[in-house]
Amino acid sequence: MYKIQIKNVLCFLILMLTINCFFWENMALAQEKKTRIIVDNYGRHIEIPKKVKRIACMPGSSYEMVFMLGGKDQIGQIRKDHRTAYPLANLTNPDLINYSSSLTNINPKARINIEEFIKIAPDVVIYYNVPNAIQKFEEAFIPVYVYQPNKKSKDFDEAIRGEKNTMRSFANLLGGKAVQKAEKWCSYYDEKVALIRSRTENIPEDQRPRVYMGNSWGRNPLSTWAGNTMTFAISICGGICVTKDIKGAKFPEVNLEQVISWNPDVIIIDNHGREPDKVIKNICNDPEWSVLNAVKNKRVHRIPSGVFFLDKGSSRPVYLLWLAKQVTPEKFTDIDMVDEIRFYFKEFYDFDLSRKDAEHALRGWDGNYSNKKSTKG
Amino acid sequence: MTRTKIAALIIMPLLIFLISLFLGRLLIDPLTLIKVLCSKVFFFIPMEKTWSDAVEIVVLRIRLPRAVMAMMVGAGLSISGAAFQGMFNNPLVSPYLLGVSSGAGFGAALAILMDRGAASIQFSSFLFGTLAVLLTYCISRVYKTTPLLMLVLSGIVVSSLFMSFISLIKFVADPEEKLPTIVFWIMGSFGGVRLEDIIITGPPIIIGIMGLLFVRWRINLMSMGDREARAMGTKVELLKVIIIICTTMISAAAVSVCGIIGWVGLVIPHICRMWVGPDHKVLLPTTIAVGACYLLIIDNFARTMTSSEIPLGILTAIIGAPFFAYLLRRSKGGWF
Repeated sequence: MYKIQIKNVLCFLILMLTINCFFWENMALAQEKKTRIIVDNYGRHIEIPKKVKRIACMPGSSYEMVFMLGGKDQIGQIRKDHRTAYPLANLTNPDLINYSSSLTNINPKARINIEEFIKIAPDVVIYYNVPNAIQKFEEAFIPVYVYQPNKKSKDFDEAIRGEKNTMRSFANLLGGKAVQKAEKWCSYYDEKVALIRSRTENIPEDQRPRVYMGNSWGRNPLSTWAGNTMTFAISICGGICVTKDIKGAKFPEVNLEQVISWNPDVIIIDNHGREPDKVIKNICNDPEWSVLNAVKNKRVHRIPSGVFFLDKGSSRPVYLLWLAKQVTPEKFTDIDMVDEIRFYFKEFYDFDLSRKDAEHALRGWDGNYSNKKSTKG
Repeated sequence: MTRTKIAALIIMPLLIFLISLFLGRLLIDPLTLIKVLCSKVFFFIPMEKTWSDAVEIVVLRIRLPRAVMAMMVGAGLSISGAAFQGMFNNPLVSPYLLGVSSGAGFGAALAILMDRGAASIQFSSFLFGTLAVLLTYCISRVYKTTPLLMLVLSGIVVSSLFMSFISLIKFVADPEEKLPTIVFWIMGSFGGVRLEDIIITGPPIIIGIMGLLFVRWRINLMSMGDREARAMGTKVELLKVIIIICTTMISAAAVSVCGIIGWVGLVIPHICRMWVGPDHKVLLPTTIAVGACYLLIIDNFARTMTSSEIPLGILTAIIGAPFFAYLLRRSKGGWF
């Protein structure tokens, strides 16, 4: 009896020792190669160099987030539109024109040409959650960090937790000071959300303004936004998203009769299209749209411009503040968006945005995409 | 054709047209709606305005143009389909045979890719639709004639060429923003139709329909084959050109304003043939009425079923296929 137990214990010890050895060996190897293992946005473990120097930023907001976290010198590749479509990106980072953008001649989400990536050999590629592309990267031994900006979440808290985790995970990827900056950003986000919540929480359901989100890539904003991200953001800002029940498509098309039957009090137009200002002007002068409360009361607003789209990436806290001010202006009279946006640029992009530029950005910087040509080079 | 049939063909479209004015996402009291309509029809009788601007705009500027457009496009596509099926003497032919839809689709996709407004999308799609057909015609021209087989084959060539252009544009387009717009556009919708669109696209469609009605008796001769028709003294080449011009005008205008609506041009002629027989003199007017009704009904589903628009390309077949299958089973295929 006794003997058997000793035998068992011995066996167990030997087993543990072997496993331990394995681990030691692995860690020693990792140290030898000067790599570290991190967890990406999707929960995959990836092995990356200890000091990441050349990151290929492929998804939309990845450049902006890396830049915000102070990873300006660690970027090797960007998407071409990062420097052509967003004037503030050029303004805040003079080095932007020096980054290579050779990998993104065509639509980045389409099939990738893995040989191009192998040729450039980035330390790590930040990429969308596209399984067959990821597999290709893995086969070519290029570390790929999967970034999934729009995860499905039950409620706003979960969505924010997700965004903060994403930011922390990006910081982990960059290493060094980025980690502190991410923490600073998280607390800034919490603070702003708490501020907005404290003022909008008690608005009864029947007094909440109805908000319609329109895309700006047509003559009128009849293709709209749907999905939880939008619904949560509007409800936290004290409004009701009229498209909250539409399931399926991210940008569903609706007809004007439907919009009239929703009769939104506020219309928010995004910056994606060519000339958002023109879209706003069109619907304000259109007798068919004029029956809407939002148009009657001149509450058609355009999302301001940011380093990336203001409503995506790291600038979401500022966007939420702006949105809250548009949806329930009476609750946010003390908040000056010019100051807020300048504070954010100073604090997080380390850039002194002049008052004039801040006002310009808040007006949308005359159309993001239309500036494409003038900002080239 | 009996009198009841003729009466049905006239009353049915009008009735469905009136009913569709009452359907929509905005709940409007039927009485108010009748008042609004009456106030516009009998504008000389002064009437107290008891309804809101929203109701008037929804009825007169949203539902009315949309219903009119759906009827015009439905009628136009069906009559073109019937004319082509007669001309090619082939039941599998649709008005898009000569590449008009892929050309127009390419034009629209190109304009969307280049961030152009709605008017340019329409213009570019009309232009490329016509160009595609012109190209088809030029390719098939042999010794001052255009044999039907050559037309069919060069139509296939041009169609597939423009189809791959569309795929190329889809491949290059931004997956977040432009791709959904292009895909939605190609699937077809009357969602963006306005009063102005009717003024722009109405004339080509109506002229095309008139043209086809004008030559409808001669299509009977064509359906006997080129040689027989020529032997009977028909100017076959001229007739072909007229039919091609008319159908191209109709389908390019239709596609440019509401995307590629399949099925209507292929199946409505068959349904009509089951009903009134294969004589084109009777068949063509019938397709106008039935096609208009059919597309209007489909569009009523598309705009009222859910809060977001359902693309017509999906509905035309989902609703139409079971109905057509039923007719097929019943008639046992003995109508062509």
